[in-house]
Amino acid sequence: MAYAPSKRRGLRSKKPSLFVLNITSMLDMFTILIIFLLKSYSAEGIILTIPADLYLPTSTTQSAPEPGLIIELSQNSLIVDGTVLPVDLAKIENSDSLLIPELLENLSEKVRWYEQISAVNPDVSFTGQMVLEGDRDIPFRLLKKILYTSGQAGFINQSLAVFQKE
Amino acid sequence: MAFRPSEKRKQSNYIIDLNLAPFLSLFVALIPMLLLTAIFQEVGIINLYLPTAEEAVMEDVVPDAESDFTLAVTITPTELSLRKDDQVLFRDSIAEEMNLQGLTAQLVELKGSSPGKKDIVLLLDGSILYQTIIDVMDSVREYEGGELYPDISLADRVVETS
Repeated sequence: MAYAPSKRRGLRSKKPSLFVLNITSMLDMFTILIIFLLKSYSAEGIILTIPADLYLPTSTTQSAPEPGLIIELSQNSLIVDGTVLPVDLAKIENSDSLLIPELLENLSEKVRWYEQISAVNPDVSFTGQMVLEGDRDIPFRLLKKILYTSGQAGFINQSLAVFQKE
Repeated sequence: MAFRPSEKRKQSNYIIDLNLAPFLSLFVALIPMLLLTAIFQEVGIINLYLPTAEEAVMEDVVPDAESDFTLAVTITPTELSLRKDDQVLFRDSIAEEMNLQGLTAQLVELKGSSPGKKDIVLLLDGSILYQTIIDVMDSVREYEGGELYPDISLADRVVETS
């Protein structure tokens, strides 16, 4: 024979219950996340955007990037300050000339533009600072043509962008 | 007569819930903001060294006997070598991996004899990949104990036709 249902339990279930969500463990998780993110947060320095098809080489250097003209050199495109130059990299790589006419023209235009501004505003001066973001599989024979051409245009403070090793 | 037990004690049985809801709202706002600005892969730079015209003139006027020599690291697909003027200090054939530790050890020794010298030239073959250049630059720029030759210039290797 089945037991008779408890009268006491019947009474309890009729009580209006207050549902409290226990969020303590979620808060623990959030606290840990916040500490981690705050640690990796940096509010200073310039942020370089790296195109998706470009893998920078890794290095042990500790120097932070400085503002300047950014040249992005991936396996199949050459981008100067966000503008894609209409050049054939394979052709440039195999040519005997060190100078890349399209790049020289574009960079000289930028130098003229800087000089025009600095003529009006003495706070702006042309430092010749440039950052090369090159793909790790670019051969030196192509790299030197980019560096030589930008040096000829007046960008003499050249630096190479790399991923920092942990 | 004994004191009557206090009524207040009974209250300790209550469970007090902290109201964490405001914290939750704060975190919900902070976490997406920090996630968006977080940098997981830090980008650094390596400065290339180009001697200026003034420096070249200065060096002519005051010749520093101790550091008045040319250091050059030559990298070809098959060989890694270090020269001080015409004297070969280090030579290693690249079978699978470059012996960069050996190169660094040789440079550390050289740095001890002429601490003022800072510049070095990398003579590179056209087919050397960018990552390899950076690896060599890392090993000539610094070692665990300090700085070696931070003023690095890149140059094209002149093919010897002898």
